Amino acid sequence: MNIVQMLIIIFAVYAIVKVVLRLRDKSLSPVESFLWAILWVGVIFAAIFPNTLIELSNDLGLGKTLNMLVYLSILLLFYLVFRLYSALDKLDHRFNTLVKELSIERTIKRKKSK
Amino acid sequence: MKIFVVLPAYNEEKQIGNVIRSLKKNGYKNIVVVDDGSSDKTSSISRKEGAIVVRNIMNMGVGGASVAGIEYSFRIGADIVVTIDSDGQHDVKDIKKVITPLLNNSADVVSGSRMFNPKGMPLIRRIGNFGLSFITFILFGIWSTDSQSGFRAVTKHAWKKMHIKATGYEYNSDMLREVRYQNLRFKEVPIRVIYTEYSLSKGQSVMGGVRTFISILKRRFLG
Repeated sequence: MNIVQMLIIIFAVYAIVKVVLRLRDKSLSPVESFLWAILWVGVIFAAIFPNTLIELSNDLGLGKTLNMLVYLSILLLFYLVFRLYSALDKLDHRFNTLVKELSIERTIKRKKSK
Repeated sequence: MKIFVVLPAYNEEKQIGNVIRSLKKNGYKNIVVVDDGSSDKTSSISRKEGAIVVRNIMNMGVGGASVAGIEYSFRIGADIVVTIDSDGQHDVKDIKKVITPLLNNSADVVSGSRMFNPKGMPLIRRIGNFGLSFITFILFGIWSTDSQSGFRAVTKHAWKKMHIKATGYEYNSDMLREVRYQNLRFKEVPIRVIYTEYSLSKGQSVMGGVRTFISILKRRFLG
């Protein structure tokens, strides 16, 4: 095992610990934690057995392992950007509703107190 | 029928007083100004002129302000709500024309269109307006000669069915989308526009039009 493999493994273990901690404080749902954990376990597996990854990418006809990793990473990034966009949009909508309700309620209260 | 007039306003101290006075002169007593987080005297002038002021604690955009004003009006008993711009570009005498199809029950939502008589409208705005109307048609399947008009009237029954999310200028297209999706009856009536140096400086800029375009796209494809 070379130094790069070891660094990747250490980083992935650290990431898994983080996932567990975020699951405990409930900032990640069990399903999300599970998906993140699978991703990082996959990274550890690929770091320990790089040859399986090469075989797998050859079987899938994707050529070099790196290509497959790049494809997967782009897919993952697209998914995460979409998730982020949805979350932000939801937050924006909630925020707008809050401001609107606050404005309306305050006006109704002011009118009643007159 | 209780008719409320909603004026979404952001830093409109120069014109808001005139618009309110002119509304009162024409017999409209229920006037709601939505001060969209202005830093000037929009609120105090409006109150002094006798309008109800709904004040947004921060700037939401013309759509957010309109929605707040419409919802407030219906909650306190309006049957029909009309929205007009607070920069004085709309002729309050046209309100009658805009609400007539609602009063005789031939429409649920009416839009005042500037495009029947676009005299005085700068060419760039006419092109932009047509572009956004065309895009609204392609994406939402509803044709309006002036999809970006802020002069609208809606009944309580129609409003209850609509789910408007937009807060910026894309609100106008969003409303048309809801008209289409909720199968509401829509009509357009010609309105007059008073173009002054002031009213031309307000409204959508070219970049604003581009932002509206992007927002309409987002609303169509990402919900």
